[in-house]
Amino acid sequence: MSEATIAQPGPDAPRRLGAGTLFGMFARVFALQAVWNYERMQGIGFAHALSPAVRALEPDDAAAARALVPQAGYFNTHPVMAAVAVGVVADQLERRSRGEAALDDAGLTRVKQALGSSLAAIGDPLFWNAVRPLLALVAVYGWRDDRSWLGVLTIVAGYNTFAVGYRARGLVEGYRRGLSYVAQLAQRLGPMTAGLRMLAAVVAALVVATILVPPGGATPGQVLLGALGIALGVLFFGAARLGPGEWGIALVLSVLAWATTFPGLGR
Amino acid sequence: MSPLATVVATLVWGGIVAVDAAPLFQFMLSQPFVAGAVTGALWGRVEIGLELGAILQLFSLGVLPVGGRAPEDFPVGTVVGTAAACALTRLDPVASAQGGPLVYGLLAAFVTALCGRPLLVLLRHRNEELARWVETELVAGRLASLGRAQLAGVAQSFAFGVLWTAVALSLAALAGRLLFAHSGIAFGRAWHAGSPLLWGFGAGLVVKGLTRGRRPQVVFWCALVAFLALRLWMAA
Repeated sequence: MSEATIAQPGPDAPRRLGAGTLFGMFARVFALQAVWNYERMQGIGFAHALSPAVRALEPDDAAAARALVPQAGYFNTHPVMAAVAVGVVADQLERRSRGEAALDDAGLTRVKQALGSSLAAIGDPLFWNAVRPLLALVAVYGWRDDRSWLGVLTIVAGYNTFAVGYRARGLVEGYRRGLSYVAQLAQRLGPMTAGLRMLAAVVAALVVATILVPPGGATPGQVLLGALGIALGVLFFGAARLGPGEWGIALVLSVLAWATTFPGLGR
Repeated sequence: MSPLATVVATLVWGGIVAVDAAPLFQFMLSQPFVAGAVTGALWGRVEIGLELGAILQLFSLGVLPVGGRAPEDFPVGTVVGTAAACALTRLDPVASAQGGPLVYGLLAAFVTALCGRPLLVLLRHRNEELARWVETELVAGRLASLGRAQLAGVAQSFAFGVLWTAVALSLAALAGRLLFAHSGIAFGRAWHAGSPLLWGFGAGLVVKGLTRGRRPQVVFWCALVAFLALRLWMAA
């Protein structure tokens, strides 16, 4: 693919997709993984999200359906960041419909795959490894220290402020600015991700502090067990191919066996 | 709410969290802390839901829904574990006072989460057939097939969520009833003695995930020392 084929349109180029079409795409981005499968992963959801744009650019439903066939192939990325890819592809299809230099279907497929990887490399650390743990830890800390249920709102409202907001912005910016928007994303969101992870590490320290010095006080044995649990989690999680589910079952059964063997415990 | 209405609402909630986990919205209703709180509220024991949800939240943060890996089904696991714990609380008030149902709820949640993985894989394979059908329809010029397939995908996930919640909750309640008839007190002792270990392990694995790299480690340890000193000073 040459540089010319992915050149950006001029600032005065007329846009054919209106606010209603963009809103239709935005609404469909929330169902990106409805038909998630091992062959195409988010491919069908991607085509569905793109369908309002393609319908607006094609003369009828049948032509739009056939134009969407290449878009229903393999695609996978972070579900929030996928909105950017939907916007970028809509921009390319619109330019193609205007007769401007744009990517053909094969080029779009290659760009989509590259976008999927690069957007996942930005979105997974930001949303799964920074925003989600930060909000979840705030909620857990609130419950442990203050018996507060408000963490429920913290998780739902906090995450969706980021995620819904970014879905809307990513779609619109991807459509308006095309690939040039993606090029600067990592640089812009990287420091934010690092900052949020630092903040999450601080809140994790708060949670650990509530285990070692519980709010209602604890016996030395309970504090020791808390410390042992932390050490086990830090040192052995991921070892012996055990995931959190297997570790959870092993721990609960061990605790039960221990409590049954030593009936004096906990009295 | 009547017992029957509570159970029906729990099953519907199981379907909702299964759908929210990936197929539709991802509004984080499926996070264990949220799922547990709502389940607890449905059973009139929100504090049980929050306690179980908080512990399970720590464990589930180690699960990343990336790539083709089928994650543990913590959303439905939390609903089942919380509902089972709430049901046992009504059954055995003595063991409940010591927290016995919480240990059992955790066990039920972890087992449900693990056993839910093959079901998720099965669901994803079923979606492959749906995807192939959509492609055939699109080639034939039928645009509406896309929307129908999406709807079918969401409905299928919801149905799986409801069914899996029903099956897992029935088994958990039945086994819990049998176990608590003989050893309810042992569960209570287990919670009293073992809950710090479970909390600690969950926190430990989150710490491990968050402190990769020198700077996060320095920040974490500095913050921990400061918070411990502050809490000890306040406790004194």
